[in-house]
Amino acid sequence: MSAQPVRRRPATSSGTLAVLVASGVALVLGSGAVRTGLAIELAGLAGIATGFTVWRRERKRWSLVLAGLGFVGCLVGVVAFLGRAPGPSAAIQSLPAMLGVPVLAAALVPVRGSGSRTLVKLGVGSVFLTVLLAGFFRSATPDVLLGATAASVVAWDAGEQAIGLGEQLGRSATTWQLELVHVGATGLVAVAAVGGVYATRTVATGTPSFAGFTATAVALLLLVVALRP
Amino acid sequence: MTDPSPTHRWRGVLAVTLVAGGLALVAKRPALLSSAVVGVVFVAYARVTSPPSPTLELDRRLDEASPSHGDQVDVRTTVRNVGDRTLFDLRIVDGVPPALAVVEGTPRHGTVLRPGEATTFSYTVAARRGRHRFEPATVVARDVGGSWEVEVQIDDGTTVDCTTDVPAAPLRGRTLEAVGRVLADDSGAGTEFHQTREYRRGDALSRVDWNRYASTGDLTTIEFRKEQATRVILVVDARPVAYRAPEGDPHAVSYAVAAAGQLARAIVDNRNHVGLAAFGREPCWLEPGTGRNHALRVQQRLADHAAFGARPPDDAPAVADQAKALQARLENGDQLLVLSPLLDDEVVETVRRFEAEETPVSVLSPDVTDADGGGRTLARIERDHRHRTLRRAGVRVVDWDPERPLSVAVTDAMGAQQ
Repeated sequence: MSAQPVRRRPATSSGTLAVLVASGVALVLGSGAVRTGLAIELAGLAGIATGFTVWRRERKRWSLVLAGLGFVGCLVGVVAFLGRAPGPSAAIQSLPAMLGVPVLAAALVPVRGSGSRTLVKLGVGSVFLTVLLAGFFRSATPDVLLGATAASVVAWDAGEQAIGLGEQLGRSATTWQLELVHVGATGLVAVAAVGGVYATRTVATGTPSFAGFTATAVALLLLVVALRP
Repeated sequence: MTDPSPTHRWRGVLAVTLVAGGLALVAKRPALLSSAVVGVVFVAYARVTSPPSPTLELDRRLDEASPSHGDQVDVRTTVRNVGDRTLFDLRIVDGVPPALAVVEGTPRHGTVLRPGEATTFSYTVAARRGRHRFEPATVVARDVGGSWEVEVQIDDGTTVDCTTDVPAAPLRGRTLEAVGRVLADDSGAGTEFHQTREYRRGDALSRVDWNRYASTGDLTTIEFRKEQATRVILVVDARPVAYRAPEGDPHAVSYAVAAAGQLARAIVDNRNHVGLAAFGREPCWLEPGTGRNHALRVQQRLADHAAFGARPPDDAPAVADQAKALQARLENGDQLLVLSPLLDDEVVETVRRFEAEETPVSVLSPDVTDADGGGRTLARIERDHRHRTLRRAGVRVVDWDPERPLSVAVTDAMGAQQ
């Protein structure tokens, strides 16, 4: 019988959700061989995560095998993707997401410590960079871009929430209700935002003039600055 | 309740929006402009939510309010939302007494509470000797988006009482050692038989031993022991050094405070007067008094005076000054009962100085040194040495292993010295 220290690790559900959503964004924006490479990489990450879980349950040999296989999987995924990318722009576009997802996972399944907000920002930021590049290279439809942006925000929100909960309550506390409501609310806002933009675009016909487009963009930026949270 | 503070957690989205909007403008990509709109919606979401104003009630239930040392006590804490708004993000950290260790479950809980709804969580603590008051539970409430944060403390004053009655305090008689009471050695009026002597003119008729007169014809007078109440000042050593403890165990001050409460009770039960003082961060003085109510006053003072705080102070005034202030308050015939783990030489020096000024001192020393580890072993040797020094100076020292009840340690010590 001894005192149990608080395990200040990121909350499991929100953390897992964040990684899954970020992976989803990466998969949707990848194309062809890139998608296969990403899938292999994600499987590898899952292997590493399982390895750590097993490590805590004192099955050290199995955990090493799993983590090792996972690591090899990640490497194979990245190499397969680099070798078989359909073109340089596809490679450049998906590279940030491919690196961002493992970074996010490392932030939320920390080997030690209580997780890192900086790594969450870095990981989700990389995934969002892929979204921006996809928009820049016009390799994804506007609807996909819209959904991917909203999903990136949800992934960041869930990741940040997981770390905050881990710091204040620790992993052994029951928090699923709170996490569910929080992510649910963010999800609703995301759906509303996507729905609103989608509806507006369906109603508006024709391409906007350059002047109109610029005015809209500037107005939008000013609005953001005014709303500054 | 603290003022709501903004968490600024949505600031990152602002950056995302600006980058997406900027890129859309520079590279003429209308699709990215719609991405920026999504960002704007999230920024607006962070703005429209209002800070929560939680009104909460706490109810803490113990399955055993007076456990024995080492028992496991289940704590069930219920928090109810008595406000009229839903609290979307409540993070509750229960105020487990610092001396008690949580051995199962966690005193932390996160949940959502609709108006009138309550949440219950439970955990198990291991009881340690002493009276342990639960601290207020800390609740952090956030709005649904997490842009505002409010901290509240809620309390219901639960106490775990893990003490046993002590029959007597280890005190020093002026000239005679007696279990329980401190008695004067002169004869006179009283209730306890002392001796018989030859009748002298003027002795009260009620005190003549008539039985003896009937059988032998000698007139003798019975003398009773004169009782004289002693004033005992309990002095708790609560200097930063006394807050030491083996890993995961309560510190010596928490043991000393618990023991002082029990001893105060024992002293007044034996019709003596008890006062309270401390060597610590703040001066503490409670004028000696007697009776159960006074014992309760002593226990109250031990529970809420800053000098006996559960967390160690950063620094404390010099003990010599505090001792001088205490000396000035003492009356002739007062005795001191110092509760100290004896972890440094300063306290030994202070006790010897009191003894030199003819104030009888007894020391109750909770043993918080640990047998394992080199440094600890050294601490134990030094502490034994201090015991010997004090005993040589004529001070009565009771060594108390907090794993054993205080009453046993006191009874043993008094038996050994009689």
